[in-house]
Amino acid sequence: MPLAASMHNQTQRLRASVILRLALGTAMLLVAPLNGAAQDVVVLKSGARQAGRVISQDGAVIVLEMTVGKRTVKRKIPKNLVVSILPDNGSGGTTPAGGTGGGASAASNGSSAQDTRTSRSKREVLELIEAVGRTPPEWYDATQLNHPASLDLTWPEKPPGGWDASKNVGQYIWDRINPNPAKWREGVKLMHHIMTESQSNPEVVQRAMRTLGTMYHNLHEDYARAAFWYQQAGVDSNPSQEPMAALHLADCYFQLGNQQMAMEVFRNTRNYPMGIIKVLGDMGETAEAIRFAEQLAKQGKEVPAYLYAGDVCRVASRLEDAERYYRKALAASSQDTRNKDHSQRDKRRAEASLAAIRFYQIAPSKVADGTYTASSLGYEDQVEVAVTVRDGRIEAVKVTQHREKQFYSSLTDTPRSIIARQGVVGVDTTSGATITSEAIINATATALSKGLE
Amino acid sequence: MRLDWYLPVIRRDKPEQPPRRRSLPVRIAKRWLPASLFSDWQTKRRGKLRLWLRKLGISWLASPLRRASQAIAFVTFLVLFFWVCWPYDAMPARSWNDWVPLDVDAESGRLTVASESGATLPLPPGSALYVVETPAESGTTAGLLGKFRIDRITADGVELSPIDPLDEAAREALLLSSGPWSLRERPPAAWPDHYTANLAGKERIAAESFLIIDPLVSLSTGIASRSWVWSLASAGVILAVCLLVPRGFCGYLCPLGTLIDLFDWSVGKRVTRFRVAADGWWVHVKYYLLLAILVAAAYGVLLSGFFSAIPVITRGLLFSVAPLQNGLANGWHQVPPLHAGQLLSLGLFFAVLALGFLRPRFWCKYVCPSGAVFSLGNLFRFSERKVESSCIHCNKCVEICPFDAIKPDFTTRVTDCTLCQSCAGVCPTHAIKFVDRWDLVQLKLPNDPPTHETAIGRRSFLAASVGTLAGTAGGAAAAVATQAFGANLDQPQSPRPVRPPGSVPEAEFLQLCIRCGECYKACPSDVLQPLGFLQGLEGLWTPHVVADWAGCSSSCNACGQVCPTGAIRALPLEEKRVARMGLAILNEATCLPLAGREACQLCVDECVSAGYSAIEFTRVGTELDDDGQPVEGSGWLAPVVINDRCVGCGLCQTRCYGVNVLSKGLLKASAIIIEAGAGMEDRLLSGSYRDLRVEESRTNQVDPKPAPATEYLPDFLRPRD
Repeated sequence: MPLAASMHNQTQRLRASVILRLALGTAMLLVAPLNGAAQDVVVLKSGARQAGRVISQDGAVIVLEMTVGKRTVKRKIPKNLVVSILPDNGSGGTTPAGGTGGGASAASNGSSAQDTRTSRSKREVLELIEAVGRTPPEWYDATQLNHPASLDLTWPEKPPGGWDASKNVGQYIWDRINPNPAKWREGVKLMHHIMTESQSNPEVVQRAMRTLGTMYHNLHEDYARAAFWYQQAGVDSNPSQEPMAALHLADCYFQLGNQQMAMEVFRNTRNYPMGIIKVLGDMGETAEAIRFAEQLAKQGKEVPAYLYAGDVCRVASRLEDAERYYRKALAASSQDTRNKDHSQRDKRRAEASLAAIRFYQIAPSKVADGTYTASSLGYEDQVEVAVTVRDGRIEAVKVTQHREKQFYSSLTDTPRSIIARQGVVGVDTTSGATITSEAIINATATALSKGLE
Repeated sequence: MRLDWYLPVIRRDKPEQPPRRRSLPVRIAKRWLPASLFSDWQTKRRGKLRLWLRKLGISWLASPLRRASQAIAFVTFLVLFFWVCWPYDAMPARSWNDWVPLDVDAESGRLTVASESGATLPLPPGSALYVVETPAESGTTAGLLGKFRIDRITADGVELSPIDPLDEAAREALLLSSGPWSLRERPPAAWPDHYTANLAGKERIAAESFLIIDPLVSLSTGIASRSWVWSLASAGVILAVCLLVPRGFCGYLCPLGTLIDLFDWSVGKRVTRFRVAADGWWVHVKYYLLLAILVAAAYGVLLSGFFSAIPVITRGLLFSVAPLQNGLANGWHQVPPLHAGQLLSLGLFFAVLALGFLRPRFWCKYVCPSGAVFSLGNLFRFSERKVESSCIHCNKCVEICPFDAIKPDFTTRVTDCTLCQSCAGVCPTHAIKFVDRWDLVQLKLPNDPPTHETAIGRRSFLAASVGTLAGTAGGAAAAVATQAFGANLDQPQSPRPVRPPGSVPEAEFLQLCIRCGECYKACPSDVLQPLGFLQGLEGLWTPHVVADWAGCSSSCNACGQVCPTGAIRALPLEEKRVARMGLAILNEATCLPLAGREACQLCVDECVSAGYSAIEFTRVGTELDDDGQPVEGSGWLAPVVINDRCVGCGLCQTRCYGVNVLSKGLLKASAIIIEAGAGMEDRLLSGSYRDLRVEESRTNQVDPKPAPATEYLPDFLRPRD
């Protein structure tokens, strides 16, 4: 069967099952409010919302009670800060207006990113993308352009003279922007600069917009703006042309709260990159993800495909399947000789996960009090974690050493998620930071094993 | 005018005369202090004060004020040197992480927070804290929720209330944040300043006080650099004071003199075999030495650091006692090894003390060129020691005089007398008085007994001429030789040591640096160390950065603060942190990732955590696939130095050397080295380094026009209006 046809077939099957699941999911959402407790939502003047249980509203102050971790905490809110109180509407969490793109107000008070992901209708998502995407991020004006003067801002597709980070924009982004978090804002500024400077050249404008999408998605985790620029670059109308961008766009839709839109992108895309396995896994589409993995494995990309399938099974708590796939990844002989180093690294990761997976189900109650450290392979190097257990509970998970360059959020999100779940099974890897998250999870599991009584 | 402050020997009041009226301080003291302390002038019974002073020694009894002044000055000097210039008790600002907000009262801004891990806060109620949302972005104030005071610490948590009233946005930020928070002693974007604050807090008087009142220090640096040295002012003040108390600096203040006194008392007086006569060719050496120093200074070569009193003792203690202090407090591995230049300095210091075997205070009387400045200043004195006709030729004054300033006829060698007044305190007939030099009442006859001294004889004239010639020629020769085998600044390939931050241009630096060593003492972890013979004698003992040993702390500006001559400018921390002392040069052949050996990011981490972020990553060795697209994850992350952000602090070099050379043995030398020289450092005589940086960034900016917000959207996406 030709590849394209096989993919198409697969998409058909996917579509049917996804629709069913989405319907089910929505129904579940309607009947079961988050956290299982009644939630009132206080809407503040800025539009930000704070969810909790209103326990008194005498005088000029509203007292809100909520649960953070195992603690019950109180917020006394003066009425002059409040616009309205929405009693018990079933949606949970703090939802700041246009609440993507970081900033102090976007803090989640739940256990993991997934738990607080607000679901939005297609119209809401599109409106959000439009509203946020057309406005610059708050740091935009304060960010200075700061690139080498030798950089060729006309950004030719095939630069004369080969790859040279001081001349070629693409290489500059790859070599200098991406590895330096301090330059990420500057990178966005540069793209906007190129875009406005070369408006007569649609090819360059499109490349800049697509790169903006990638930067907002991969570096800034600003999904609304990422989606906006991907849309402007035409990724949504012709996803197959840029499968990687399409995958990111789908992830944006999912992150913004609409899984259906994400699936729609997948339906229209051919030639999926490997990352689709992970995105589907994140969405809870384990079976689909595995089917894609098998499919991609048949195309000669066995090592990464099985590795990703293992990851997906792990997140879905199907540990035996995960183990099986990790073993398959290790056993596979990569035909993709070009990326030998890459395969080697994937195998090392599979090995690390395999080594840790037998410790995944260790309950903290079986672990003696103490602090245990262990490390596991991350993106750049070993990630070391210190886990503190007290009275049969995981009290703290701290990343003590790492060399990861991107996605710092995983360094805090993943430990928080582990503490909330009191274990590593089912802990979601932070979007786009799979490898780092996974290293933290593996290291935590291994660390717990050291304290087994 | 009388300037008497010695303790006169007890004489019985004559019964037929009314009791003598005591001076005001004595009357006040007698009124408030127990009578047993004071002597009885009717019975000649000695009071306890006298008995105690006698136990301390005859010189204490004769002139207690002078000995007390010496003791206070000496202790002050030691405190300034060993405590004020001791950076290691500086504590960086602390922070406590993982605190959850339990109760937030957005009305009053009161908070109750508890530690996630059950930790307690080691601060007393009333302390101020900054509450910061974590993870806070480094280098910005983002995440700062406000400044709070600790109201109460209970078992359930810590209660905080805002110090300044919170505005609406701040109250909302408190409400919406669910933690974890970090509680900090300093706000998140604040540049660390603990070393600076530590020194400023301890410097009730300037750490370099004694150096700036040594007149030769400022005089010679002023002449050598042909510029106004600010410490000349304080030298002027001390010289003015010495018009009233001639050579009083030597008798009352100089810590080297006191140290020599202590040495002579404890060691020198026990070894008499090297004693020399009171008179000889050496008695005027100090003038010739001073002449040589000033001549050399006129040629632009600074020799005063070798012989000036306070630099000699400062450097002496620096190379002898300071390493002990450092080693005992911080561990012996923290003590940098001594080199030949330092041993030479130590040798000179002990030679100065050893001169005490020849005669007590031999150095002060005959050799010290700083003393010579005061001796010459004595020519303009207002007051002096005089002897009245009641002198009984008992010779007690000659015996006690520490400076050989009393001639055989008991009159004064006025250029040597320090007005210590010990002689008056032992004079049984109260024949010695300290009055204005024009007071000629009741004077004893001069040359009785004969002194055998003539005003100026043929031999002494000859000696003075030879000495003067030798001084002039010696100074000039030393200057020429030093420069010939010196720094050779005209040669582009001559070695350029990395100087402390805020050092003036190299030529001026060599003319201004007195080589006292005060900056080494104040420098945390001995980044600054004395240069050996790299620049010949011209650069001997001048400070340079030894980045293999340690890097310059971003929170410190001590070296400039304690420099007595302005060779290192006293920069505020905001200026110092942008003053470039050098530039980090990466060795692309040895740097581990650049050479493709292994991943390493020590220098980048160090630079980022120091707050400079002058070393960034660049991806090298990226592999391309068949389509010419880069392969994700291939190659290495290697460092790249951002030249206009690097200040040359050397922290990167310290780290690379410490790990890759010393502990792992991967390299023979650090792969990143701080270098100085034209274009790599800022050497300003005056002016702001911040302005320089602003100017630089303006000229370097790619796009000089300010980036407008409208640039965010291309034209075709902008709403039409």
